[in-house]
Parts: sequence; C-alpha cells; structure tokens
Amino acid sequence: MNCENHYIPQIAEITNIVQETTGERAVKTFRIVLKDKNVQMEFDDRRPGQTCILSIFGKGESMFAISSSPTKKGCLEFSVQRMGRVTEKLHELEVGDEVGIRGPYGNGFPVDEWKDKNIFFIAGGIGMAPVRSVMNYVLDNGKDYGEPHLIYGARSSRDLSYKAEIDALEQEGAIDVRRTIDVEEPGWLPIDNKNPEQAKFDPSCRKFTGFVATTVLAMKCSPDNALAVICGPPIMIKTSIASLAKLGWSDGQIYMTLENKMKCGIGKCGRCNIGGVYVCVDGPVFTYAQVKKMLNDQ
Amino acid sequence: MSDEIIRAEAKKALRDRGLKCVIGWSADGTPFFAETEEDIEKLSFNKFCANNLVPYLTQEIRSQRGKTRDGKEKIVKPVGIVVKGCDSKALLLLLNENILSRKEVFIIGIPCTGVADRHAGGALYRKCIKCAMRNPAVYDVLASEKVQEDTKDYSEIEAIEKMPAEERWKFWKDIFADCIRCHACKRSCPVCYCDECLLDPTDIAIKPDTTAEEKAHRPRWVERSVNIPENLVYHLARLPHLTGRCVDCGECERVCPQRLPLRLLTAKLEKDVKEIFNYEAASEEGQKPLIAMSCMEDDNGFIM
Amino acid sequence: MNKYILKKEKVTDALNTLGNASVVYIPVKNKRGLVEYRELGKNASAADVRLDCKPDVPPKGILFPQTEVLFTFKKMGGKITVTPARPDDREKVIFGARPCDAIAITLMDRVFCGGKFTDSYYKARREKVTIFTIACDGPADSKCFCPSTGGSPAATDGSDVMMYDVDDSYYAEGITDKGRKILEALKGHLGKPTPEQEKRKDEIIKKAESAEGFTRKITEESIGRLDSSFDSKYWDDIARRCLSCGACTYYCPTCHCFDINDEPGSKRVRTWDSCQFSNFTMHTSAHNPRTGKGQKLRNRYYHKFKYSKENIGRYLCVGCGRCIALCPAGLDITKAISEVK
Repeated sequence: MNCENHYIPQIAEITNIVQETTGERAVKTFRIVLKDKNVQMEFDDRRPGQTCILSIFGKGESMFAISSSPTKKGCLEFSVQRMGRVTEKLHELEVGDEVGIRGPYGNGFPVDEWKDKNIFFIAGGIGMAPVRSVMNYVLDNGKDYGEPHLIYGARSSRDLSYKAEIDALEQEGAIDVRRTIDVEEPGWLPIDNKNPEQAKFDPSCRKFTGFVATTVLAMKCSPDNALAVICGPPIMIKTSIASLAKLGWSDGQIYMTLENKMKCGIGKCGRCNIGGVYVCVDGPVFTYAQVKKMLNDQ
Repeated sequence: MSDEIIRAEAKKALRDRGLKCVIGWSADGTPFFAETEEDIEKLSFNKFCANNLVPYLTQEIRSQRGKTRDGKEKIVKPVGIVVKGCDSKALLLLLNENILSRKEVFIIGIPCTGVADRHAGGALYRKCIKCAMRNPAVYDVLASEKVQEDTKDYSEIEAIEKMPAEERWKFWKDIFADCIRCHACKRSCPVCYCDECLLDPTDIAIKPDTTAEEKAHRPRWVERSVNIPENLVYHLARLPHLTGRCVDCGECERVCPQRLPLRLLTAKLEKDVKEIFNYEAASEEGQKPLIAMSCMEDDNGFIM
Repeated sequence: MNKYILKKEKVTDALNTLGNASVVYIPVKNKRGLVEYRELGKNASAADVRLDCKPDVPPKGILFPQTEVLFTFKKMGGKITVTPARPDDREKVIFGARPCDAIAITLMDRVFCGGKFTDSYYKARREKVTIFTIACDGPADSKCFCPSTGGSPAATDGSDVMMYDVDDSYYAEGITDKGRKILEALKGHLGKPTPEQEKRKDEIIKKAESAEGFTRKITEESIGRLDSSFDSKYWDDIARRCLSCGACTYYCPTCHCFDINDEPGSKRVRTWDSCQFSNFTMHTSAHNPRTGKGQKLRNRYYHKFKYSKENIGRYLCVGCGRCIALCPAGLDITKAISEVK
C-alpha cells in the first residue's frame, strides 16, 4: 500500500500527570512523548489550536485539543476531563503507561495573521485547555504580538486549572491575568452580573466573583487593534461574545474553537458537520463571523 | 364507507376530547398525523395501510409527559389512533402493561381483511392469509362491520420444530447471516418501547449528570460488528423480552429490508407461550403480563 | 478495437474466465428474493447472474465493507504493539452494476480519496476494482430518478466497461484503459457488433438520454429552495413518522458514515453507521446538536443535495430510489425536497 494509513495510532508514553482539579469531573493534564523521535518532531511542527485523537486501546479513541504550545518541543500535553468510557480509563493510567495518538488534526489558530495585535484570551472551565496552547505560543513569541490578556473563569476556585503556571505568568508580569468564579469566595471581589459596566475596582484586583461575560464588560476590553480567543461552555461563549459586541468588537475579531462528536478526525465518517463544514478538518478554529455564516448557510 | 366513519369519529373526538392529533393513514397507505379537521379529511383506510401505528401513539403520548418548570405533571392531551385487528392487540398489550392509560387514547377500530405492500402491487402479506385477529380487540368506535376470523396456521413453525438440531442450526445461521442490524424490526415493533435498548449499541441514554463510571462500565451486550454471532445475540436476546408480549403483528418481518422471515420467531414464541403457559398476549383487557404470573407450579426442570 | 459483442449464452463462460484472474462479484437473487452481489465461486455460480434488473443492494459493501477490522493491538508488560489489517488488494470485478451505482462509486472515491486525507483501506480496494455496468434505457423501476441528480440511465461515469442489452447479446464497450484491457483478456468469448447491434445500442442511449418514463423527479428549482428551507417546520412534520432505523442509509450507495469502536479480541473495528440513529451526534456531555428526527432527516437530505454540491461539486444522491422502496414509514426524498417550503 503506497499511502499512509491515517487510522493507525502512533505509540506515546505518559511522562507526567498533573491533577488540575478533583471531584466527579476531575481534570488531569497528561504530558506524553512519542516513542519515535522523528514522529515527535513531526508533532512539534504544528500550529497552536490543533487537535489529536488519543487511543486508550480496548476502550476507544477521543479527540482532544493539544493544550501545550508548539514552542514547547519534545512532548504534547492534553488536559482531559473525566467524562466517559475513554477518559475514565485515561485517568487511571500512570506515568510510564502507553497510549496511542494520531494527528495533529485541524486548522489551528492563524497566529501568523495576528502580528502586533493585543490578544484577549477568554476561557471558561475546561475551555482553557485549547486556549492555553495559543496563549503560551503568543507569550513565547511575545515580541511579535501586542498586549496579552487572560480572563479565565470557572465555577469555583477549585475548578480553575493550571494554577501554578498561571500564578507564575502573573508574577512575571508576562500577561495581564484576571480570574473569575461563579459563587463568591473570600477575597474574590463581587461584580454585579446585572450591571458590570458600573463596576469600579482597583486595577490591581485580579480575582472576581462573576461570570466571565460580566468580567469582560467590567474590564472594558478594548477592540482597538485587538482580537479575542474564546473557549468554554456554550452559554459562556454566547454571553462573552455578546459582551464583546457591546464593547464594539466585530465578529471577525473573535476566534473560537468548536467541538463536536468525532470519530475519524479526517473528514470521512460524516459525523461532526455543521452544514457542509466538518469541524475536524475545516476547524476547529473559526472566527465568530465564520460560525455565523456556517449556521446561516446550513 | 369506512373512510367517512373514520373521519366523522375522528373529528368528533378531536373536538369533544381535545385530542392532540389522530394518527391514521393517508390514501397511499403512509402514516399520517391529523391535527385539524382539514387534516382529518385526508385519513383513509385501504389494503395498503399496512403500518402498525402504535409506535407513533407511544411517541405522541410520551413526548407530552414530564414535569413543568414548577415541578407539576404536564397535561397530556389524549391521542386518537386508527387500528386494524393486529394493531389493536399491540395497543391492548401496552394498556395492560400500563405504558399507556386508557384515557390517553381514543381508538377507532377497523376490521381488516388483509394488507398488501404498496410498492409491490396487490398480493397480501403472508401474515394476513389465515389471520386470527382481523377484528380490533379494543376500540372506542368501529369504522365498519366485523369480519370473519380465520384460524392461524402454524405448519411452517411445526416444520422447523421437526428439523434435527444440525439442520435447524444451519437454517437459522443462514437467516442471521443476512441481518444487517439496521434495527428496523425493533423500531417498528409496537412493544419494543424502551428508551434505551440494551441490544442496540447506537441507543444509549445519557443525561448531563450521567457519571463517567456509568458510561464507562455500561456493558456492551452487542458489539457494532455485524456478523453471525452478534446478530444471533441481537435477535435471540430480543425475543425473550417479547415472551408473552409479542402479538405477532408482523411489522418486524414486513419492514425488514433484508426480508428475514422474522415471524418464524415471533409465531414460534407465541405458540410456545400458549403451549407452555396457556397464555395469549393481549387476549383481554386488564390481563396480567405473563412475566408477572410466575408460580410454584411452573416447571423448574431446566434449572437442575 | 474497443467494441465487442458478448452473446448472452456466453456470459457464464466469460464470468468463469474473469474468475480465474479476479474475485468476481455478480448480482444474484438470494433465497429471500433480494438481488444482491455475491462472490462467484464462493456463494454464487455464474449461471445465477441476474443482469436484467437493478440489484436491490448496491455494490457499496465491496469497496466499503459494513464491518472492517482496522487493526489489532497487543499489550504486553505495559507496552503496546499495533498490527494494521492487511489491505484487501485482490483484483476484483463487479459485473452487472447499473449506472447509478457506478456513479455512486465515483462519489465514494471523492469522499474517501479526496480532501486532505486518503482512506488507505478504501483506496487499496478501489485501485483493484474493474466495473462492468449494464445501461438502462429508462427507469429500472418506479422509484428511479437518476436524471434529477445529474445522472442518466446510460451514463458511463465510474464504469470501466459499459454494456448494452441488444436482445440476444450484450454490446460491450471499454470506457477506460482498465476496461479496454479486461475486454482484451476476454477476447475468446467476444465477437464483433453487427450494424444492427450498433443501431440498437444507439437507440438505447437515445432513449436513456431522453429521460422519458421517470415518474419521480426533483427539479433544480426545488433543490435551490433548500437554501431558504432550513428552518421550515416541514422537516419535523414529515420526520414524525420516521422510525430512526438505518434502512435508508445502509442501502444508499453513497452513504458513507461510519463508527469506530474497540471490540473484544483486541481489535479496532470500523462499521457502517447511520445519521438517523439516536446517538449519532451525541456528545459525552449529553449535548446533542441533532437530537430531533426532523433535524436528522433534514441533515441527510441536505448532505445529499446541498452540502455535497458545495464540497465536491456534485449531488451525493444518484437517484437509485432504494431509500424510497425500503422506508418502513413511506418517506420519499423526491417528495420531501419537492414539497418543502
């Protein structure tokens, strides 16, 4: 056979596991290294925002966004929430165990088109995983881009991932970080969800109680020479986009990474389409303008 | 003549009983959901009205059930249905099993002398020759005069029973080799009403709060692979769930695109249930389900 | 020379000759009355071949089997080895396809071998398949509507050898290099067409191209209206009687959706799937973007007539009408697309 078999996973080893959150829907970040160094180099040569399909042999496959930036070479990181058949088993694995991986798939973020822009990374819950890959890419290539900002929300402070990493970035002043939670905790300044524009706070305040969408409004994220990367639960994306629209953002400035049930990852099995667009190969990254058009063109 | 009665009764019930709709057939024999008096004018009955409409009745009633935001039970509007003899037996079974309640349904019965494939001209389906349930077993109104019942013919079943084991095994393997697991049989079956079928790997009910454990540890009784062993499991595990419930309406065989003679199984099941338990599914209103009738006198010889 | 005559009485010999060099699939009526493709020498003999009707089952399964092992895997001491399934690259002949099914194969080619990725399992089979197609001169049955989909009863797309029923013989013409080559190999069974037979063949083509006799149609205008009918209530209305079985998709010559699962026996298996099944698009979070039957039905029809046109420039439906013949609920794609508002 003289063409590549895209269904065969490459074998990789888990070299590190970080327990990001605990509980029923815990999140763990797995660092994996391809056994074949040449294949690892091929994976290193990718765009942020691309995805991979991980195999837990005997259980099945699932597609995940690669949550490490391509600037972090020699490995791949995936932040996985414990949801079902494949992820439950994955969460039981230990450092040294092997998994399968195929990819990288998808279009990734068009980072070459973002030169000198201020970038707002807006993430909710597990949506931070794909955002992290492009955020770290932008930070590692800092001189090519404008001011980076992160607004990251979750249900509670216990549900926020990448604590150490984001704390460190904040300390270094590498990126303007604001975290938000839904239910008030001591030290997390409440923002009135009904009147976020009226919020007054010291610019040094970085922990808020309020939805991500309201924090966006309270922060008055400026659309001038800027773009936004949004990922999270559907309601969070919807409301955050509405907030940005109120602040004068246009649809083409907003980048999203979509997800759908996937099996093949290569545009053959017919499952992940929105109209004539396959999220696995044509996406998962789209601007909001493109998403609106896709929904309209169905 | 019967069309006029069906339409008149349907319109009357739509008005007087506040029906959500009346499920019947169009003149070309396809299932039709009549919601207005204008719709009802399209209802008709002829020999091409082969579909058993009871699965749609279950669909229309169940989709109305549930709780409102305030936690109150939603109001279920009754649904009308036109049923032939075989259809009505299935409906009676669902009533006896308390899946549907009598006040939720308005039944227009139509005695039937046999139905035919609308795509294949006029010959009646095999099941209709020598049918013993031509007249509806349960109804609010009848749309025509009752007709003469026949006695059911089990000679095909008896011929298979007489086959030596080797030959019988080959006979059934041959049949199940042709199954493509499209599930048309299960979907058209009026008594297969489970939201989630343990024999259908495409049909798992999950909710937002279903835990990872539940999803991970749910057994896969049937794999997606289509081959004789898996097909056997599908059919021969579905059957015991129909024991004393299947009324042999024949929809499974009618809809099977591979033309598997599934009534050889359902009729055999019906025969066994009669002979072993002296029980006929849906033989009267209020009848207890067979599986609820186990007693000390049952033959337990198979256990030891 | 590329045009031959194969006398009907010699078809059996020709098939057996083909069978010496290739696996030959022929349409055969099975014991349940269904005309399906079977393997010559394995579960069919040449004398059983049925070339006089449109097979009930398309030849899709020959190139894209319903169940296919992609690979097996072994875990020993925490280390995993993956063994890909050997590609099925035997020489194959499909003898007795109809133009709709041959066109369908070209569409499957675009799905599986087009775009950024090529499906190696499909490709390995496809390269070794030679297709003999029998032209129709009009609708094979009342369900046919190939002219509405850009096809025709005598279209040659996808065929390597085109055959025309000229009474006591088949007029056989090599359309592709593969076709010409295989006819060369069959020379011993073939003769030269007479002027009468040439004329008869031209009559068949003329009648086919006139597209007369088709009772089912979908107009370009109706298909154009799909753009503005996405939110129509019509889809939920007609889907009310859909039973969500997989009959339409499994018998459709161009439906290609599949599932991938790990199964006991340490294997990863690809199987046909249907967008009409309940959980086709269900996320593990229980969010289902296409949860209603109307949404599923609409997606299927739009995939066939809108999305495919946008993506590969051609309708994915070939007008074979099998979904219409088989639907237990009497759904009819020609009616639906013509009527939706």
